[in-house]
Amino acid sequence: MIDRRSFITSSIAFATAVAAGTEAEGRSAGSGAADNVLAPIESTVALVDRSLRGSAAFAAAARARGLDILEFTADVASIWMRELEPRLRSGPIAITGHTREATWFCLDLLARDFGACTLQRTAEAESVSFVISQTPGRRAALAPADVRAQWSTRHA
Amino acid sequence: MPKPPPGVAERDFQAALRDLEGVVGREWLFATDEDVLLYRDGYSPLWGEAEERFPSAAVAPNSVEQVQGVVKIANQYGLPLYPISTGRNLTYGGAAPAYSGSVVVDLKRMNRILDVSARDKTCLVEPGVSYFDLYRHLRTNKIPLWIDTADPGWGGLMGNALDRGGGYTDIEFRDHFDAHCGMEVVLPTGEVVRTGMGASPQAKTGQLFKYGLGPWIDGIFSQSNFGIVTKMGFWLMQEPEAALQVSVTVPKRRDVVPLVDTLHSLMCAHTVPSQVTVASPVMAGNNPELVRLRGSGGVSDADWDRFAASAGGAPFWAATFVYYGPSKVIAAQWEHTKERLSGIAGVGFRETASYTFPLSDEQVEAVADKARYGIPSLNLFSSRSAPGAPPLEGHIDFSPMIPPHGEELIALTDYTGKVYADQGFTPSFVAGMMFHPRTMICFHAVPTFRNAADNGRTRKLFETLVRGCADRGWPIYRIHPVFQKLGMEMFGFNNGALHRLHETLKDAIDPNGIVSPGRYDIWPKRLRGSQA
Repeated sequence: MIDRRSFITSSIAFATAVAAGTEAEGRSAGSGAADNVLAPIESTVALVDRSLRGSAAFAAAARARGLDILEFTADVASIWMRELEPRLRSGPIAITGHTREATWFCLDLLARDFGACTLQRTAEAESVSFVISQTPGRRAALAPADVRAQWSTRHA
Repeated sequence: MPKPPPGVAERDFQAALRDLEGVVGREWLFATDEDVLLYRDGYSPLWGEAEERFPSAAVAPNSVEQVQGVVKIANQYGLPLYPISTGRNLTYGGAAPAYSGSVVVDLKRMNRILDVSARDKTCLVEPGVSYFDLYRHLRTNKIPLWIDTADPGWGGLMGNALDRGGGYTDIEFRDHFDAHCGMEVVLPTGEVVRTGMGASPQAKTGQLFKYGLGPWIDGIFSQSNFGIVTKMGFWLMQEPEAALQVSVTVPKRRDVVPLVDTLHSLMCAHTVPSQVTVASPVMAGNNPELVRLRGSGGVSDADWDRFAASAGGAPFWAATFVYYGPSKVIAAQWEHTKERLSGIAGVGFRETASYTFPLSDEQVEAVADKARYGIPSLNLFSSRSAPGAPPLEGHIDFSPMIPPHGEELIALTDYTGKVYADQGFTPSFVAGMMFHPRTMICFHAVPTFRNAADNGRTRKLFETLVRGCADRGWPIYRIHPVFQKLGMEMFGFNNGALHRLHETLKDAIDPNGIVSPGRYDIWPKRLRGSQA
């Protein structure tokens, strides 16, 4: 059972590691699934569902790491349209989040079309924290040029 | 590596993939195991079984010319294709093909909004345009038009319309196929056709008048496999001055009969403009006594009413709908509605939300029932996080259509609740949803799992529901690919004359049988009979 502090901070640490391309830090942060990350990722955002317990602590931890914070309440659709989808379209980007399971479920599926996948996910009672990132191992119809270029380089 | 389609030799498949790469570019051909998993049906009722449907590859063209190129190669090698727009309708199969081994033609890159006319209140879009895309376009450009979005709103306009999905706003827009005006289709031969007025090259009315000249053939491209639709026009709703969302409640179970009759009459008279949902606050929930009653198959009205009283006296039924228009007109419509319903003893009227448009971003965020105002939302998924929600992988929709009669809604609820209970499932609560002006659709969530044993039970339940409801006059309006053969059997008048006509058309339009073999059980001649 993961403790509360780790629950809140591990995905932020992992996302930061992903962004920096320092996979070792990513692994030690909790999941060990960072085999395919892009490096470097210029943009990492933290997505916070303000209606959840622990959201303020998550946002503060993300802010301390210098991440952009995107806050919403319950329905992630507006943030997706306004912020996340445009950023994934021009990527590469990593998204760390503290949301309900349903929000993660939607984002995981939506982000796949942009060559992203879930690299880390930890569940607690009513919430999950996660990292979704574009990776060169995942191709998709809407993956941005940088992601496609890295895939092409690796598969030349 | 994924297997080639049945009947296509490995060598030919590899040659076809190289040719497809030549058409779309290397980056847009997806042919590894990992690529293909993107198109897996996460809610498949055949998950992990030999019969689960997988594509052999996917290709993502970016233009009509590239679609034509893909079709040409498919004809050359006998490759089955499976076009998708966004592929996100998880309860009806997602992006997975109807026929295993098909090459998914992923049209998400064709996501251009080609035209929006604020003056004519129309748009012309490509298949990859999502509700999110068009909503954002209208809002960013301050165009005072509404989309009518499916719920959840992450799908695409064209895919949802072609599968005959529905929404929640005014009647002119919420039957999504009916709201289209003109389409462009790449036929299985590679030829491009435009329908309606768009077939006249200089016509200025392509998105204004549906029929053009001669037979109107748009319908054959819905729920079918007669071509790859590459453009569609749609009519959009003018943003109203205001909206009022209301709830009408009635206390007793049998009150649903006059409630639905009256609302149907008001809808036909254009007094009630929006989709109407008739749900039961009493019947929703998971307390054991309630579950037992729902699964008993015929508890009397008196017993149900006693249960309702013992459970706190909530109204048995609540109808939810919205008025759109000038405030004065809305006030008159609401007043008239109340007068018409006032004969039901104990009827209750409540205004649950009112808006004046346009809304600010903050106001949009606060709208509770977004789809009723043309705002795409993902709120529907919150049921996955509901306290006490059972762990499940997903569900498929069982969607019988009934007349807009309260007694039919009661009979359906009794029947399907008993079927669920008899087969060891918790009865799915049923609401009647009046998407169309003269019918109700009653969605049932049938759970799917990640193991064959439970999915076997699910398939048995689903088949029993489809057959039993059709026998009672309630056939489905739409169905998951795994059950499309079963669904079409329910439309078997005159020994399957309609199905034979579908396949006669298939042979004429798609002689090599390359587009979506098996979709809605329409098989090309070369595969016919091998799918029994």
